[in-house]
Amino acid sequence: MDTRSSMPWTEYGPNAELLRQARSGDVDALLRILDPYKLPLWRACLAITQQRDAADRLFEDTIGCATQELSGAPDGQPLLLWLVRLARELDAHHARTSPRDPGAPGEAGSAGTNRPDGKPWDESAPDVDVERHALRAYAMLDTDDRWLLALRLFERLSYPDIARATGVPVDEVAGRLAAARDEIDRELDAEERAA
Amino acid sequence: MSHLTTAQISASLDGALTGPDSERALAHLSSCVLCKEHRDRVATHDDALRRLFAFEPDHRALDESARAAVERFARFRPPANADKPSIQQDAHATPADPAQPLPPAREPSRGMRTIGADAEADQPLDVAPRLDTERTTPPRPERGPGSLVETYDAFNDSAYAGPAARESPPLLGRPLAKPEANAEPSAPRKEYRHGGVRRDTPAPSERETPVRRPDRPEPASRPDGFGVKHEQEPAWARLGFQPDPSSPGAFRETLTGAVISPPPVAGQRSRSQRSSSGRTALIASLVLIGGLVAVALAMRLPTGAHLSVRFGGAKDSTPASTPGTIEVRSATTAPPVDVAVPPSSGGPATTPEALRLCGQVVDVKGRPVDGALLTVAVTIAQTRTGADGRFCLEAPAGVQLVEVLDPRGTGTTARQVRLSFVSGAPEARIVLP
Repeated sequence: MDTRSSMPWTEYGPNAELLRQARSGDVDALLRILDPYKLPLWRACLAITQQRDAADRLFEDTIGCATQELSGAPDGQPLLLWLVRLARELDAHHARTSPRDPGAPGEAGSAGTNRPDGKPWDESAPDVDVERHALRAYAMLDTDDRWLLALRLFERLSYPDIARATGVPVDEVAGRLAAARDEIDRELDAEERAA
Repeated sequence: MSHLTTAQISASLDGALTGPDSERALAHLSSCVLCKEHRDRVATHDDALRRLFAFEPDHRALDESARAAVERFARFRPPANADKPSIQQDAHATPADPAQPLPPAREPSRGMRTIGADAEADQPLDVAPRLDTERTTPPRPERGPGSLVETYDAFNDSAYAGPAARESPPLLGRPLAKPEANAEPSAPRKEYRHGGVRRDTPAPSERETPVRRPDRPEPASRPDGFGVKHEQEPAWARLGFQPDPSSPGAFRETLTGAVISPPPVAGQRSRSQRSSSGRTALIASLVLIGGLVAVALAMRLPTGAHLSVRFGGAKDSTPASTPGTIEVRSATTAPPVDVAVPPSSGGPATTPEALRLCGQVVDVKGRPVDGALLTVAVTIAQTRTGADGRFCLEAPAGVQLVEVLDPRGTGTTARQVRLSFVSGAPEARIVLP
């Protein structure tokens, strides 16, 4: 299986002394704790928001929320999972309070004109239609299914790691990943037939 | 063999198939075009999504963003070991005694008591007027145990009486303490017809010197002297004099020993002053008699004669309608008879030796001082300067000590100057610092 290092997702977080210093107000200690989680957290924010700018904002909000809620960070599970849970809760809160740009790819039913990196679509590229349709179908998935697919495709976690990170059994992980892929495939097939 | 399921295709893409399942799936894919096409299509979608999300953020911006967020929110994060807020207790508060009843609520105002309901508890004022309309208070009926009003008042009195009285517990629900049988009877009480009650208290001169309560120490002296009473020093002492024991009423200057007599007052004139005054009275009497004689003669003149009596001198040609002129006219043309009356010496009762001195009080810059109080030490005559700082004083002839009270500042700064009250003396100029 093509997997990336699953350490940030599976390790049990910083040592107790560093966490105690961070909880007592030591900013440097908190930054040292967050340092190995910044990049995967940002990728998770990108997978959640599907836009670079929104991912940046969600990343900063998540870090700030984690700073405030550090005393409630779980001691017995990986800190990245707690950070991602905060990010997902914040994104759900933002979606309820301020709906996203209708043109954003993450918005259901949108045209998907914007790439996640913010660049315009290269119409001369051979797979531009596939990418555009795949992104639109991906945005229409269920939030949990999209997250499972992101963990598999972007973080390249194995099924057991995904199951450990999400608390979902391995069999259910496999079944939901297959269902998500099938959903994307059927959406693309429907679009091709409609076209 | 049937086609591969979506789960098998997905698992094969993820490499999750192991063992015989993986071998069978690979064998089927190598032989089934539909399943292989399906797998390739799903793989294409996965690759498209990976490409779309396969970009790295700006790591430096990411670090700065993380640091900014941590530093911004760390200031508002309460410390983890912070205690929960609790009610602060007053360390100086007296612990409540559960055995004691709760003190009653305060009255809205002590002035709202019912008059006469608690006359015994109230202390009458010492400044009761002494009128001859007072009458003896009729005997009051015996009162029962302390009422609620009395307990209120007793508690309030004890609460306001000071720390010593506050040591006693509140009297709510308890009868008031009765006076001892062998206690000294209180002074008789009298009541006026208008309803006022007074107690025969001794006159202020007969009262004993009040003894300061031991729990109230002497007030500390303050540098500004505020709130501290000082005994008023007599004026002659402040001016540097002391009474002369050899001559009553006279003062002797402390430094030089010069004796200064007080100004003559009625009934205490000197012999020469009495003789001078007698001559004046004699002249006035003679003039009055002469006038009466002149009037009588005029009444005997023929009808129509003019009688004119003028005061102020024979050369005065003031018309007859001016005040001080008595004019009797008739139809006759007889010339009026003028009787000159010398100037009367019965003017203001000023001492012959008293001289008037005018002057001005200015400050160091030459500006007039308004409202300065000048007091002649000998006669205690006082005057105040006007807006232009000018003043006029009368004092016995000679050099007199004058106290000048500076109105500026606190108004209590007095300076002593010596002014010469002599005839023809120039105007005095007093410069206050």
